[in-house]
Amino acid sequence: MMSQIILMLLIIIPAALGLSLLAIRTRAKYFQETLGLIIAGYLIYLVISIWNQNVLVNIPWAGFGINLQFRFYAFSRLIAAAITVFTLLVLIFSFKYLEENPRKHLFYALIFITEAMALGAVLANNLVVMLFFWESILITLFLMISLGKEQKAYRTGLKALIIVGFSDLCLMLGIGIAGAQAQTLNMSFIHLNTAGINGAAFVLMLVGALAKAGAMPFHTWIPDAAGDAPLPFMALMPAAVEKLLGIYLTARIALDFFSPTAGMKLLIMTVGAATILLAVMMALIQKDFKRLLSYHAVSQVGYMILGIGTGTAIGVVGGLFHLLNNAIYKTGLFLTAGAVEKQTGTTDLKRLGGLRKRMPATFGFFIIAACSIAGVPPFNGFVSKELILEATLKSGQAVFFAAAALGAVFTAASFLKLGHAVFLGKTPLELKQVDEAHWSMLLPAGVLAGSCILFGVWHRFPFDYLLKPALAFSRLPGIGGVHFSFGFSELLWVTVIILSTAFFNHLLGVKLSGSGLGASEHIHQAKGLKQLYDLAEARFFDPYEQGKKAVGYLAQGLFTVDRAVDWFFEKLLPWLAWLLAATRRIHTGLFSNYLAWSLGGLIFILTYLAWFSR
Amino acid sequence: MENALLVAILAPILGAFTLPLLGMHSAKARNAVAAALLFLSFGASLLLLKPSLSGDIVTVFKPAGFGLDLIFSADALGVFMALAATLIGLIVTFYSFDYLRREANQNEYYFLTVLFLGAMAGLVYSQNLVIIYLFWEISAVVCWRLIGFYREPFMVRRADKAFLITVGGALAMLLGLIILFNEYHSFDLRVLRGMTAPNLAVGLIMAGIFSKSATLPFHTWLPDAGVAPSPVTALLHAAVLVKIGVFVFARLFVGGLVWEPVWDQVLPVVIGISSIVAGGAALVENDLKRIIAYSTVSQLAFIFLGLLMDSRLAVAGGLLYILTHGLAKGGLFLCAGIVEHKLGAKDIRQMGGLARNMPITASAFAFCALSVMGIPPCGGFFSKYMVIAGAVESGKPWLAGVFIAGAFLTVLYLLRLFAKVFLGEPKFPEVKEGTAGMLWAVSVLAGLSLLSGFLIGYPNEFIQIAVGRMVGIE
Repeated sequence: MMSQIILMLLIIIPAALGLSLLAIRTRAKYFQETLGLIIAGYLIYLVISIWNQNVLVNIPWAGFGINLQFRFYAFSRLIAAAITVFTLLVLIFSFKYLEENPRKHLFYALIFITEAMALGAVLANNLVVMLFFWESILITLFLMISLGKEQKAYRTGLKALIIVGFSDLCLMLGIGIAGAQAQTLNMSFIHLNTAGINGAAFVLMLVGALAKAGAMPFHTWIPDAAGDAPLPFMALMPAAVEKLLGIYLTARIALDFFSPTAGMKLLIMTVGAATILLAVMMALIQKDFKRLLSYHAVSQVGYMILGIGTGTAIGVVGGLFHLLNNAIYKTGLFLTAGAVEKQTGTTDLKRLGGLRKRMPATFGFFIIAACSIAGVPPFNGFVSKELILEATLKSGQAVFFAAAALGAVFTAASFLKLGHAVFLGKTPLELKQVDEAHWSMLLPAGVLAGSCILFGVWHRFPFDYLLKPALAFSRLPGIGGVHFSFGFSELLWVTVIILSTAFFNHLLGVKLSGSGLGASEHIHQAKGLKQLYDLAEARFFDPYEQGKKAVGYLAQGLFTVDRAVDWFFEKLLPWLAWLLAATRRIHTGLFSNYLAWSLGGLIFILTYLAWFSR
Repeated sequence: MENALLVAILAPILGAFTLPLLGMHSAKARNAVAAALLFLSFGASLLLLKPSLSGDIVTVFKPAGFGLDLIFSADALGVFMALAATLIGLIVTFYSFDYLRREANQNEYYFLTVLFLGAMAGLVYSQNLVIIYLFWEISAVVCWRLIGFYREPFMVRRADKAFLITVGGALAMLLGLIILFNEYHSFDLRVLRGMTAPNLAVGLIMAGIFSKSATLPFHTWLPDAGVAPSPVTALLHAAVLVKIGVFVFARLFVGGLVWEPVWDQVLPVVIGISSIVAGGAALVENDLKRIIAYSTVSQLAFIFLGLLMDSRLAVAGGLLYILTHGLAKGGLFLCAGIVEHKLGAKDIRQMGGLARNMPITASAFAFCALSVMGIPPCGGFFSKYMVIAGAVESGKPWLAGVFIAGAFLTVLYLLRLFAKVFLGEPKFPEVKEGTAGMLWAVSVLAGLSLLSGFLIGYPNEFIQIAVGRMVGIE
């Protein structure tokens, strides 16, 4: 009973706190900060306090099988714990970062409301209840992006709202079909094949899950948000919470609700591989710290999808581990970007440089996180990426292995360029006076950098205590046997090749362009690629922009139909009036006329009667 | 209890006639009595709630012969509709106190709205088709008079248009009812239950229902009706009057009359087209109230979808939709009224950045819009999900797909509307919020839209019973 109450409190407390932060207007310094810190920490404690229990909650709600069902088990507890931890870290970072922002209390409130919704979505054990929380995040997503500095930030918010709203509607239809086919909405009892209409449900639900995770082609709002949204939003949502939710659901869909056919798995893996490659190619040429990171936030999710798509124990463990690792290093990277932005006032790579000496701690944390994402041993990203590479190799799809490896090369290359441009090279004159960031901004980044090392070197801990129990739901054979060891396997050589290719490519680029920032220009300007890049930068490939045009034409066409119908009725009215006028003309007032009409009528009636009474 | 039923119907109908007389002496007294009459009707329906749930249905029967017997019974469906209508009617009336303060013809306005809500109560409780038709036509006359409230010639013309289309449809429906009478010799719905309706009768009745509930091709009077004062648009053309059609549909065909299978093929196509075309038109229009009116056309198709499907989930979703859409769309029109009142403009291209000047109106508008879009935690989420899932459940996933597209259009046009009016560069820096009374009204509607999501259990429990009775399962 106690544990069930705690489970409900995990959702109620942050929601209540968020709502009261919206209402409270206090001048007391640090009041909201202190309160937020205590509650965010307390939520982590609550998750840990019921860590080893399996908790089920079932409260009647809307009828028709829609009950408030929640389930705390090895998978949801892992995601829930991650959500609470990342919320706390980003909150600590925001205190200093948003210090001068007049709307910061609004942002704190939104963070907690989002946390409540995210926890609700992850703990839900009923499809509609999950959708309820899942879709509620749309509102906070829009509001958080709109809190950006620029007045036009709301446009990016609308873009996110429309893209994610579309995918959420797909998810709704998918859930409708899945619920009808399985005859239940209880997530514990949904196990379907993907034949016929079930296949539609599978794809529709997957669209919802993958779009939340930020996979192609539903990612295009993320790079825009990098420029417009407040940085803590980027560190919290696209880097961590949305990935956690999206991949959580993807895993449940692909491994639990449905048993996908080989063709469906191929589809998932293709989405994963395309996401890795296309996004990393875009990341490579970016000239803004945050925008570059945001493309990596998209690209990395491709690895997770690829890993889960293989449907093998190694791939799934690798994909899930990559989810945790990515959240750790990507949030860490965004926080270093935030520290640089706060201290220098810019994230434009052209105006940055040589910060190594000015911000040594930030530099250190950046190096660790960048090495993790680039897959340098022994950091955590290396371990999970190796597992995914191994899984693609073993599943016999050489194309996907090649895509993953090539993606890794470009990832490493773009972080060499980024690190070089920001921290090495010459310090621009206006950055001579820059100091290290406030300790409250360094602390979360430091914790995350530390975790990069911990999860890499002692990967057995997350393997045995977090991932393998979490994946028990999938009933995949061989989950328990998945292990990793640092040793001279063939895959280590693959990594060596990947990293050295990236390194020599970087040297070549620097030599050709003469600066760290230009290290990717030889690829950017390469024949054929340049035109593609120009189109991509002009949003030609953005489904949102193209869709906007298409919907515009469609709406015009539909409006024409509407106007045509209206034209008909508008014409009908004068015609009716004419008819009335005509009947009026018959009434001439002459007695003989009326008599003739009456006679005619009488004859008609008599004929009619005679005809029918024969 | 019979008295409660009669009070619910007769108090507003008879009381309405005293309002112009009172108004000649004191506007305050007239307003107070108008609100009191509606409250009385609401309270009376509330008294009927419990018996309707327990199955001990209150019925009033006054024989008159020729099939014209007065039969009123307070079943769950009727009580549900009456409560929804009078509740929204009350809120809108409170709003009108401020909104119409300076207008002429207020006596007429209060007389007509109270009369309309009385007719609505009579319609929802009636079991006799001719009596239903009678109240139906009363509402058409009220609607005609109120669209032309400001007396400009083009408004009067639009009022005529609305009147001719809806009354034309109603006459077709009357013909259909007569065909039914010839077949089964009764206008009593309880007798007609389970009978097969001839195709011609179904076609004629549906023409009437579609013209009242503004469905393609009989929908274009609704956007034009936006020239009425905003509270009229909110009450008649969004929340209550346009629901008469769907309500009568539910009364006649859900668990009532049976039709030939061909209608199961035809009607989904009609409402699907209606939803998509109106959604597209809403994306193109630039007049604040016309956009919301097109949205109503589009959303009415969702209600029809729910009621058409052979699934209890869908029917319940359709009924819930009547409630959630009434609350939210009423709120949208009232917010639009505040904006129009303060700006004196209708074209959304001239607006922008009003969220700064009118934070309360903007947030009320936002929550109502979210409910119409079907985004949780608002109540509209559940009605939309239940309708869509119900369509899937009754074996029409493709139709559900069409309506998902319609739902996406809803998201698009409402976001466009919200962004153009409330976000971006402030174009009217000096504009102030509406009066307290108007703000209260919109806040209550927005709050109810939000609460109907969290507290979905209460309406749904009731609706579940209502649907069970309708389709004959206890």
